[in-house]
Amino acid sequence: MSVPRQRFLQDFLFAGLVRVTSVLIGLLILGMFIQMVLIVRPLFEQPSAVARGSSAGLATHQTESGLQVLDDTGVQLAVTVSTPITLPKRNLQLSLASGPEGISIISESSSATVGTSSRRRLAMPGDLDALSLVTTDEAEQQLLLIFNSGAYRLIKIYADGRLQSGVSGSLPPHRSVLSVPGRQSWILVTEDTLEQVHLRFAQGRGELVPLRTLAIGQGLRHVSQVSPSRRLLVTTRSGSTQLWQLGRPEPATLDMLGSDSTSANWLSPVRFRVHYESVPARDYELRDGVTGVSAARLFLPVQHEGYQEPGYYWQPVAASDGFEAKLSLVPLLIGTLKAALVGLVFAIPVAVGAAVFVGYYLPSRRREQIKPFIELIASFPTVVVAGLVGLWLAPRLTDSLPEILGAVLIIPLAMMAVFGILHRLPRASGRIGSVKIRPLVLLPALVLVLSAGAVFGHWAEQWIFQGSLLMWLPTHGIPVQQLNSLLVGFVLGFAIFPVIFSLAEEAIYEVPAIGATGSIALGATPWRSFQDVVLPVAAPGIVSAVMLGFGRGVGETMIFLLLSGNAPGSDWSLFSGLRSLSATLAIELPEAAVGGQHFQILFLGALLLFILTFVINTCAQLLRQRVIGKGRVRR
Amino acid sequence: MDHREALIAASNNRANLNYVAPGIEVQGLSLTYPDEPNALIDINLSIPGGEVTAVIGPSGCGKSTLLRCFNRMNDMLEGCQYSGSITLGDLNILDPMTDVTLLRRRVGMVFQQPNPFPMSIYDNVAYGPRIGGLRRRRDLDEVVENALRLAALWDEVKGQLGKNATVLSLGQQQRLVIARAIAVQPEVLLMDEPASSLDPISTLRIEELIYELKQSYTIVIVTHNMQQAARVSDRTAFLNQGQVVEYDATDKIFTNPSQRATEDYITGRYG
Amino acid sequence: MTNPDMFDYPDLNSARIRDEKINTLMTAATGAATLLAVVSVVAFLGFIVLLGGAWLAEEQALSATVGQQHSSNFELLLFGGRELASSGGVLPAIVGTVVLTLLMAVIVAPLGIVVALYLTEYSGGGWPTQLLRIGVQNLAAIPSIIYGVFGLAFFVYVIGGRIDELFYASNLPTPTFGTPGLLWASLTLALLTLPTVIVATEEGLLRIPSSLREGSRALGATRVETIFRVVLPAAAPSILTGIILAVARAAGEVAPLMLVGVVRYAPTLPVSIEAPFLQLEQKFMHLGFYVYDLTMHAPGSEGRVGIVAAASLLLVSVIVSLNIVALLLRVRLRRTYVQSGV
Ligand SMILES: Nc1ncnc2c1ncn2[C@@H]1O[C@H](COP(=O)(O)OP(=O)(O)OP(=O)(O)O)[C@@H](O)[C@H]1O
Ligand SMILES: [Mg+2]
Repeated sequence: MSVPRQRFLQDFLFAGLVRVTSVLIGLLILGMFIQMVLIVRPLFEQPSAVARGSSAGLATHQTESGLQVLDDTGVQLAVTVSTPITLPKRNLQLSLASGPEGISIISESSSATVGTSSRRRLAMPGDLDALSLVTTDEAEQQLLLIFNSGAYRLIKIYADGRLQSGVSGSLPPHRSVLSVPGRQSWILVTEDTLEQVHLRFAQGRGELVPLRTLAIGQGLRHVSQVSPSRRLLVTTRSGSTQLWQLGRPEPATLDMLGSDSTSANWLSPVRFRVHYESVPARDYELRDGVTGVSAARLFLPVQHEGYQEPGYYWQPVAASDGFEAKLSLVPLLIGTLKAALVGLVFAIPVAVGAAVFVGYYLPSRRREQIKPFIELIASFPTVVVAGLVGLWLAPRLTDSLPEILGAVLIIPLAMMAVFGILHRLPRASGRIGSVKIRPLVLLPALVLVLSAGAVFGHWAEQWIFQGSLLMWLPTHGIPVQQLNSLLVGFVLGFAIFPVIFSLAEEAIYEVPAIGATGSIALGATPWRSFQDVVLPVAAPGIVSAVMLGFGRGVGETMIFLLLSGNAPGSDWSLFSGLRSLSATLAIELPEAAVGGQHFQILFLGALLLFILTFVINTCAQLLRQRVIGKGRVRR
Repeated sequence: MDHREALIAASNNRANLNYVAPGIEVQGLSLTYPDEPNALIDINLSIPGGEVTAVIGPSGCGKSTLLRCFNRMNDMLEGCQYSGSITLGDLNILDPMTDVTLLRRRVGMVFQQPNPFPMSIYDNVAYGPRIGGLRRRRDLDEVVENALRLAALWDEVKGQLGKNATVLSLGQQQRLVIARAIAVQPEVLLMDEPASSLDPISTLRIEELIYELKQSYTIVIVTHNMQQAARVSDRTAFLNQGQVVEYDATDKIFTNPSQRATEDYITGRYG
Repeated sequence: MTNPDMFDYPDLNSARIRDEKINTLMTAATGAATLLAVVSVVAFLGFIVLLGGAWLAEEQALSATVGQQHSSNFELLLFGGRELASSGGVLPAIVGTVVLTLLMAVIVAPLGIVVALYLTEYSGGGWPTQLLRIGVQNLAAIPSIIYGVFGLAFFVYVIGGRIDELFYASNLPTPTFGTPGLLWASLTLALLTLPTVIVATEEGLLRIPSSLREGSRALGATRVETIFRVVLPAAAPSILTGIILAVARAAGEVAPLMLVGVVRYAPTLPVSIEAPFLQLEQKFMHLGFYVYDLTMHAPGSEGRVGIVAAASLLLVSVIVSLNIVALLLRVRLRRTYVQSGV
């Protein structure tokens, strides 16, 4: 009695185990996607703030203009003329003086260890009274002098405290100036806008030009800036508080703060204190969406501070915290797609050609010997392939590019000739199965042919490119790097061609032979019956194979890491390096702070890669399934 | 003789009611496969032109193999070796220098399973003439219509020539394949169990068709159906284990075979 | 009606000759492509063997210059020297690779078999099954680096972080499991190779005639007994093939490991002869990463080619032999399958 029950229980439990495990695996797969979405989501959310308790209303150091940044963080950014400025990062103190030859800026650098100090002076024409403001940028490399007339002058500060007078010009009317963390960019505060200007060179002349205008709808009452982040808290005349993120076109209005605030001041990069007319001041902390990322910033050209033109740049972690992060994913996408496409160009002829030969021309018996052999490539670790190519082949490739191109170009020609001769021999005509491969016989010929190709390539280089291809290309506006897209594409092609070969061959071989036989029995040549009868049925399968190969190329990592140079660029040149999404993930993710903006953007990159390959794969599968369906009908 | 001239001659001859398609002479034909060394052993057959010859025998005795020798389809199988000679008129079929694509235009073949190409009915029938270089639409239209009429399919498909051939019924498909084969005007038509996958009515239509065609084609048909062989053929060859056991007029084979094995096979005591 | 047979073929010869020419050309071109493919396999393998072998056979190529005590390059490769970036040599990397892949195999084998069992033996074929099948199919096409990303986010930060909170709270904020390590790496690789095992196992299960199952059920065996006594033993070679292929694939993967726990130099091995024998939370070295690291960072480019080729030779020979074993198994399998006339 108990034995059957135990056996039944056993059966029941195992069935449960199997079902639960399978469901869990399914959920895990789904979870991969969902989790990435969850990590990426805060990037696109509106910021909000949560209360962190009220404060006793400490003195807020407001000056009359209300524009001075509070020194909560210990760094002074905006300083009126009367006080000397301290540049803590450089151990410098700057002060102004007037003399007979005009105004002078005195820099005093002090060394704590040695206990000495040295002074330097930069003189320029002008009148001290006319000077209204002096401020520096975050990196403390540029000093901005602004005169009451609206004129300005930039002064470069060297590491040793030496000063050099630089670009000058005039600024539009403004109330005051804020410096922007980063380089060579300042914000002019007016009655109802924040005007960001940056240094740009045109025709050899530098100039401060408007970069973007942040329009404060209801008039500006107070602005607070925090170092090293690039966020501004703006209190409007109507009493609401806006959070501006430099680089993001729209402010976030923090409605939760009420509408009768008089000022909001940063305490730390995420904490701030709001003062009200009626109630005591309160502290808040920022939540979500503090990154200032938008689709436009990720995918459209962006004008960056200090850059000459809008463009696509990937530089997510700046040298200093306050620097503007450049977050365009376009260079990474271009790099990835460029290399994958070049890979396809290399892989398709060989893979599909071999697939036709093995799946159609070769008799089954030979097919079974050759196919697994070619598929062995698929199992080679790409790190090994890329490593050896990078160390051994790449230097030689760039040295003797024309010779190698010549040899590569001549291989197909020579092989065609060889096969043409084989094919013309008596009895061979019209036979499918008569082609015998004797590589050992062909090898000496191959060596001979390769040398001939190399000589030809060398000769061609002498004549066409006046001695050296590598010299010729740069002089014609095409810069050449040793680790370039062509090389990555070539090796990528080597890595993906077994994938394409294997699937395309399967698609061709699966087409029932009876159709081609019928065509051949009508006097068609084997190729014609392939083209007319086999290809229409196999074509979707071949296309799907190519797509899967492309997906493989897009997701490959080690080849990119070792051979692409990993410099993000947004051009399509074949001779320049590139940086792929996958390599970016491998390089940057281990170092990105968990949960930070960089981390989230990298996950967005991963999500993009995931979706890209998912779409490619799904389309390929759909195509394939249609083939299989068709094949069944025909059988 | 050039193939083109031969074809023109054949066409002209065929217009002449006295035309008789050439016969096939098989002498000392042996064939080996890698794992079947005795697929065919010393076959000698004289297949008369303009008649229907049936090849019967138990499964695996080499019927299809023999048929495939007549248009060298065996060449496509790896490791298949043959010796002896087969002549069609003045053409030595097994000669290595013979151009097999031309040979196959003179010796058409119909397979057991209907194998229409994945294209329209029209394109199926026009396939052979097209690869032969016939391009003019009017000529093609005429060839297609005539071939379909000859294959007794015209009335069923004339309104829908653009339809995909794979949606036809099996019986229609098989007649389409026959139309496709005769559209290139071969002299010999090889049929390997052409009716074995068809229903009785379709089978009957194929048999009628064979009867219709036999005036201007030399037909060799492989069949497992004794009644069919008796009904359609003029002469019958009985093959067993790669050898011709008996070859004679069909009446003789079916009423009074000279070999015991033949009688056993025909009466169903065999295979 | 005109006479049906009155057509002549003015272009027959030219059309035929053109077709013949195209056929010759295409046969030649596709044949050339095949030969190129075969030659490239041979060339690559030969290249590794020649370069790596030559370096191994060389006497004291590197060590003589620095006065190391290694008698051969082989020893140098195994135990390392100051001239290599990874001072531990390749031996700890081999140990790391082996431990990692074995752990991965131990995880992936039961999971893969169970999912395959579900797909073939238990599921009714409804939409959840279809969904799972599609999921598994797509899993196979996801780039391996994505697995690394997922492993880092989910295994390391979510699960590892939670484990730390629950069991290693005293060590916080220094993470124990909440940081990349051996366990997470092998889990990640297990997920990556799951489709391989599932597909191979499923193939084996589908090949077993249903009469075998019915026979067992008819004798009164329960489903689980049928599976363990009849189905799984019959499918064992297929399952083994799947696992071997999974191991071969995992041994060559580097990209995901870079996110979930591989390091250039680990001071201690993740295995030891004392309890607890296996340090699951430890970071580890890996042969593939070793090759990457040497290529990327080691000084002295001329000396690098030899040692990279030698390390590659080690890795490739293991992977290729695993693949060949799997191939032979499959061929054997197909043969018995044909012989039994199923
Ligand atoms: N492609 C091939 N390769 C090797 N052996 C073959 C091949 N085709 C046929 N054979 C062998 O040659 C012998 C004759 O085969 P064939 O197909 O000619 O027989 P058949 O008389 O047509 O049989 P059926 O009536 O079943 O069609 C058989 O033993 C078969 O196994
Ligand atoms: Mg047969």
